[in-house]
Amino acid sequence: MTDSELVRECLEGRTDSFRGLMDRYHDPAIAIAINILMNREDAEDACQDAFLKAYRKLGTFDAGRSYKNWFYALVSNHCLDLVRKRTRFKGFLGRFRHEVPGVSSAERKAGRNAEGLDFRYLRPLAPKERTALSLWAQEGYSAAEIAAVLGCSPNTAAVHLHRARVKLRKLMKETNDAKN
Amino acid sequence: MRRTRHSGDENDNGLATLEEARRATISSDQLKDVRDFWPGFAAAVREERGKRPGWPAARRAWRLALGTAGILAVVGIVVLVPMLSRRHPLPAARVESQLAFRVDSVTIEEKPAQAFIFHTQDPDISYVWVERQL
Repeated sequence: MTDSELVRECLEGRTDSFRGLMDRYHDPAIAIAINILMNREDAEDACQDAFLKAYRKLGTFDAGRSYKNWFYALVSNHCLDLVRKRTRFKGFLGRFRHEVPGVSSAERKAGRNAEGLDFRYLRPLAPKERTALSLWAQEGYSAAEIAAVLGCSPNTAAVHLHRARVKLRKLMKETNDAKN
Repeated sequence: MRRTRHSGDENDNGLATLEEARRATISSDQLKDVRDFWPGFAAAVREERGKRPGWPAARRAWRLALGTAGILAVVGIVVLVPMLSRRHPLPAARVESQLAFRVDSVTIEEKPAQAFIFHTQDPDISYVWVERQL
């Protein structure tokens, strides 16, 4: 059954059909959210909210568009909002400026968190750069598709992706140099 | 799930390759014991439905409220306005007269009316003209 068919069934009042959409995009959505938020618990909470938001907004979904892109846009925007709020909060509490909630100092030094997820290379990237890189690397998205998710022009999306790749390359080179 | 549209082999141009980007980012394959959102989602949807009336119910409620307001407005115009008007009939036009003849109020068929008093040359004759309010 296609995404559009499941959406139509949901709009007809069959809430259980949303389970199909949830199962389909559950894991990739969490991965995208983790890449943006760099914290698994926050990412799961964000995805839970995004699924509920998607269900409430299903009536506004244009059946001619891709549900996947539409939903990823909801997830990304929700996560980017959380990052903005978190940044404002950290600015307010100055002393936590370089802290990442949910990650201890020891974990940060090791570059991995308790679950073995490695954020060493993601942390120096801007949130939109992380989003673009994640969609490109994990979902195989083009700049135009990233633009549809981020709600910007393809050129801007290409710039985010380019900057992310430049930073990543530099970080990896520095890491390799340090090892050698 | 994964599609590869870019080879990402630009090692020498200062850009990370697709393989490097994949290593740097978290993939869904790396996730273990992922939380099931369905129970929380279903509970939230049930709660919302319990709190909020559905669109047809809300529309019916609005129609009922508007209908009631309309009926009250008509009752107010038909019943209350004449009742209030009867309490305060229009005063008759007063004309100075040596006879101190005056009409305080007049009604025609229990509806307020306007009265006019005409004094003639003859001090013993006065005409009173009463007309219904339109």
